Amino acid sequence: MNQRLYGIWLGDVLFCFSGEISESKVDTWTASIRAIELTEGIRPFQQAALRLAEVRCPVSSARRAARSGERKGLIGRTLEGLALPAPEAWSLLLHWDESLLVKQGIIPGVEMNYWSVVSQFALELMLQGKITPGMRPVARIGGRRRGAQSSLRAAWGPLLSNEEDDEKFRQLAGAMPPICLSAVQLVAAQEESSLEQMQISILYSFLTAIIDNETRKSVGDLGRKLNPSKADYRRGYSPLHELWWNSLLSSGQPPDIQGSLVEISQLAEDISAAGGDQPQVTDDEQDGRGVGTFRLCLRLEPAENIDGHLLNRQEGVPEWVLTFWAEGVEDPALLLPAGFIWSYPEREMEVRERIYKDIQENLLLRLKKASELSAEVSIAMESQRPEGATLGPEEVYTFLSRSVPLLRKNGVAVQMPSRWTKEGRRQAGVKIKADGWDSENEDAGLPKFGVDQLVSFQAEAVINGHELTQEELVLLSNSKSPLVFFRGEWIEIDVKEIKQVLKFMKRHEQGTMTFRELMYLTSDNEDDNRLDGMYVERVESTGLLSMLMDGEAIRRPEYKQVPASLQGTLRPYQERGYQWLSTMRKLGFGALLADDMGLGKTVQVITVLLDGLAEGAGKSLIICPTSLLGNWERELTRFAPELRLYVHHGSDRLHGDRFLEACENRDVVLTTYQLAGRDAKELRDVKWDTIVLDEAQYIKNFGTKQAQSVMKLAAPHRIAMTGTPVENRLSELWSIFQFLNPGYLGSHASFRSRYTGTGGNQSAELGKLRKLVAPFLLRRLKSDPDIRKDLPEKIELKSYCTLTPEQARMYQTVTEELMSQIGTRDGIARKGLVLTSLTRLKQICDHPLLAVGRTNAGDIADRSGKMERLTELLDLIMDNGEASLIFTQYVHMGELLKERLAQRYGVAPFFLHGGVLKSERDQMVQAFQEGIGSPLFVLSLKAGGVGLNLTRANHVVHYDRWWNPAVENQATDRVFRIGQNKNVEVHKLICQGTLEERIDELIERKKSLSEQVVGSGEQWLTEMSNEELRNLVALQAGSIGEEDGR
Amino acid sequence: MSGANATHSNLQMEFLPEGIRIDISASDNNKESKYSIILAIPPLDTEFEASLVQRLQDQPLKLAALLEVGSSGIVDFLPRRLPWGLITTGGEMPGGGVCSCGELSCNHKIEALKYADNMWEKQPDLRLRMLGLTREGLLAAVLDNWAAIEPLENAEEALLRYVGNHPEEQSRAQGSGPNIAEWLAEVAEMGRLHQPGPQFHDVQIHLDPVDESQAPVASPVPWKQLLPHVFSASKGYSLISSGVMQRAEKLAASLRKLPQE
Repeated sequence: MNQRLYGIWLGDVLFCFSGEISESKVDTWTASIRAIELTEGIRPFQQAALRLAEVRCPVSSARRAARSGERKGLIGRTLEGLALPAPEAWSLLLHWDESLLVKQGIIPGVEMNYWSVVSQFALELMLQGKITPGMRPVARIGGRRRGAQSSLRAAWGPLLSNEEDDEKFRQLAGAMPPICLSAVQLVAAQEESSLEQMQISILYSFLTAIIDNETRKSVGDLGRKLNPSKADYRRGYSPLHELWWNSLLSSGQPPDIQGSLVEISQLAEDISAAGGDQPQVTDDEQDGRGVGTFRLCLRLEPAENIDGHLLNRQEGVPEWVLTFWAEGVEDPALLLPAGFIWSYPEREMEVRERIYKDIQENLLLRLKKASELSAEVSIAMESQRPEGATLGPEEVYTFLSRSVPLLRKNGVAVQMPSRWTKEGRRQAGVKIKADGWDSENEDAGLPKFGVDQLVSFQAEAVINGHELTQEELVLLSNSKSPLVFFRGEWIEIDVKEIKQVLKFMKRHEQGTMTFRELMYLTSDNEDDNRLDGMYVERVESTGLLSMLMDGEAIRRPEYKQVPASLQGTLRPYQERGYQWLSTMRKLGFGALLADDMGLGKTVQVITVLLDGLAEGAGKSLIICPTSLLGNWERELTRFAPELRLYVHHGSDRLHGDRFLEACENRDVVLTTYQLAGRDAKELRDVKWDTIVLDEAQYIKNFGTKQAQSVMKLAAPHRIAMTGTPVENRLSELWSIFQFLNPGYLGSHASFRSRYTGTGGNQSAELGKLRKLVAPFLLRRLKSDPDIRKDLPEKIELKSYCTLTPEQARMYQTVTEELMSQIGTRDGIARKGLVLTSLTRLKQICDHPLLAVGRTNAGDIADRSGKMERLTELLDLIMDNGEASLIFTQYVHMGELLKERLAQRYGVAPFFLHGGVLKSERDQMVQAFQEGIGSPLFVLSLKAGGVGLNLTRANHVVHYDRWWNPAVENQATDRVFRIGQNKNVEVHKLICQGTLEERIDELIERKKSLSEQVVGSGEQWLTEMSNEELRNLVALQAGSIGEEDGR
Repeated sequence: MSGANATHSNLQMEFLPEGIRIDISASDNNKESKYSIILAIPPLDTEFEASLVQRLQDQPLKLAALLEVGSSGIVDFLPRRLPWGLITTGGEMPGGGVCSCGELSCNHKIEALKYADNMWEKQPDLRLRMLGLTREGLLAAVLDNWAAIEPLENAEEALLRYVGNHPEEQSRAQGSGPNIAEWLAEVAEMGRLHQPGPQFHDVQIHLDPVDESQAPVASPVPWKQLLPHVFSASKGYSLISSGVMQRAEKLAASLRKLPQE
């Protein structure tokens, strides 16, 4: 790929850059530029350092025309480039050979040629010994401490005392390409300077750096011979002039000369008076008006566009007209036709407060210079009042290919129809019409090839958006000139390209490609729009293919009845989700179900598993985080009791043959990511029909053993589930797709280099990526109007979590103590024991630190399964930009939560408890409602239960249970009240296998009677028999989360 | 019309408002004028001048060459021999020229005419002046004729039509200070951001070898004033300057060997 090379002088280095801002593109550019090799093996960029500079230049996608009347301005952009210090810049520019660079895939900006000529001017001066002792400015030392200190640097510069040299210097300064003035720091440093002043400063600075570098080499060669010429400088006694002189007689770069502002100013003045300073700006102003210059502008357009000219037609083909114009250099909007200039009766012209002198003479001289480079201009100069020329097609091509580059390099502007510029030229290529799945996919008897299944297509040749007939294609391929008059307009063709199209059409008029290829062809990515090397201008598709590609398959999936074996009713959007999953299964595509949290992804997946079972599919493997194991188990049991489940988990899980046997008799195997890594081989030995990854972002680090093991598992049908906005998390997206449709998004390195940069083009690149993944991704948000109407206003979700081994041990101890003592107590003592024990058990379920009464211990994380589950839940909420209330009945727990959440999210949540003053409470509520501070609000259930309006939150988490639904409901109503415009989700965290789960079951079972049964708080628990109590509190299997580690 | 003198052996020519003065000195070494002959330039044949203007008018490249390098640019449009020299016979001077020797027909006059003929042939850049013409005059004549071919009824109105009358344009493109950003935006929009100015085409770089015997350029630095206590500063400068020349010559020599574009 060709790389641009632009260069501007920053005062100390030649800053070379590409204008790209995407990190990956700059990386690729840097590698190409470093490899540049000039004659004699010179590699000027090999050691060049990367540097940032703020440059005013249009970035490709950001370029736009300002509307009439709108002030224009290029915003400075921080660009990364390679910095060449004077010696390397000198080497590059002196050996400048554009053709050599073009061969190496580099397209240099025209200004590089300018710098090369400037370098030659430096050499010309040095050939004649025209050097002078001078100085380079150094930034004034600021700061109050140093007071009025200043400094300058001794440097050899160009001697321009000769009139001819001075004129050449001024010509070069005046001819400086505008981009050389685009460094923001340069303009900022000379804010009050005129354009001419800046041009002179930059040119003088460049020449000084080059000449100083070369002169110091000569100084080095002379060595001691220069000793008699040195000053006997004594610090504090001798004038600084002597230090300056001695600095010039040093072969290396001397330190800056520092002194008081007065001393340095005097020194600079004296050096300047002795000729060691840049030339002064010529006072060209006349009565406050500036002096303008004209450049020659050549405009090329089809003859029919020129009013009043007769068409010269040869064989019915219109010709081209080249016209001459004078364009203002300082005011490029000024454009006057040569005919007007010749007719203008005066020799001077005033336009927009600028005087243009000798206008006819200047235009004539510019035309004469141009004629030396362009035969076309030369011919036009053979008649009086030269205004332009008529060119035939072949002449136009010669003009464009030979003359235009030379003219531009020498300051002549050329305007032409945009379709002829590199950007505007349209390629010849093919249009692909994808008909449908190829019959070969079915012949093989294996309908599931995933993204590699074949699609049949028909190709048609196209150019400039027009379809070509076979005859036209042959005609164009036989054209002798690249410019042809085709269907009423001039177009430039690449005959070689047309011949390739012809060849392609012979081979591929009808053919097949994989679905992956088809998707990439439609991704609008320039690098991907080729099929078998041929440029594909556009792709058309029909039927299911079209539905998949344009998203219709997601909006209106193929109808499929919900399996009767599902024990429940799907919401309409869930039914569509199931049907989409089913279509993806049928096509063998890996599917990413990324619905918002709370929309019921699990039930959609269970339905498709049931559907698979009905169709005779084999076993399914579900991999989820340990914390979700209980959820899955419950949901499977609840919605699909028919599915035979084996939970591969715990220290007593099966291995080897026993594992295989267990799998043999089951429909679904449920396991965790940790075990998928640890028992990878065993899992690989089973033939899976479907693999489901829940919270698929767990495999985002594809280099980890866990992710690798998951990737190695094979199944014709793969589903990944996540509630996070995965399309914005590129490394996750790649890993998940690598699992779903291996290889679809290319290698990780190529994916990274293409999409993970930053800057202007990146959003366009991401747009293309979204298009690429769209057929495989289903993400619906609760806020989608289509979904919202199907949702209840309040969704209750139970999140099951496990205990850590530390919690489990503590829990076990308390239950054993309770059960050993319960038989010996009665009456109030018994009630007291029961309530105390139950409270301790609940606290243990919350966090071990709560149970032992410490609230500020350092290590809060990883000790409570419930707290980990909470953070997983909050991650999702935060990712979606939503807010949540977290209720707990223990103030100490609130403190622990506050500390943990502050650690995790960098900002402490609001925390409201009984001890908070009313004024403080009101401030908190107001700040939260107004979106100031954390989106999380921790409340102790009693303090937060009444009189608060916290409708900003649409999530309520009950960290622990109050046993009394009425109390919980009252808390929930803080968010579910007037002013709430979102659906509210209520999450209840329950430690599975503990008394929390048992009590929840009791409440659920007796819900209709709940007010009567549990309405009086916790008293009813104390009424239980010993056996009932034992059943209530006993720790059951599956309650401990971390035993995977054993 | 005084100006640069053209010297040849013991003769010297000078352009005066009243004609051409040719001084004849006694010998090459003694340049002190001995005799002076003033040749008044006869009025040019109007047909010739009109034809010259017409030819320049029809061939703009020639007109441009005249502007660039003077007479030598249009040498093929001018007579091969000094036109008024040919008409002098028998010592009759064109325009009644007289010699300071006082004689009506002296050899000095013949010698002066031969010299003028010779100068015509050897120094084509003097031919226009010897004909009494100027590049400015010819240019003005051609441009006036061109303008007359398609005259503008009202030049200023026509100009306004091309440049428009947008007040916002006034503040734009001033090319100084903060306006640089605006000017850059303007040139970028026109696609001129990388393009050098037209003067770039006029720059000629000469990397020819410099005569080895040529001493470095004398520095204009007032050494005594700048460094009153450094007595050999000027010598140091000469040494360094010579060294720079040598290094530059090596570099230039290597570049001369490279194939030129």
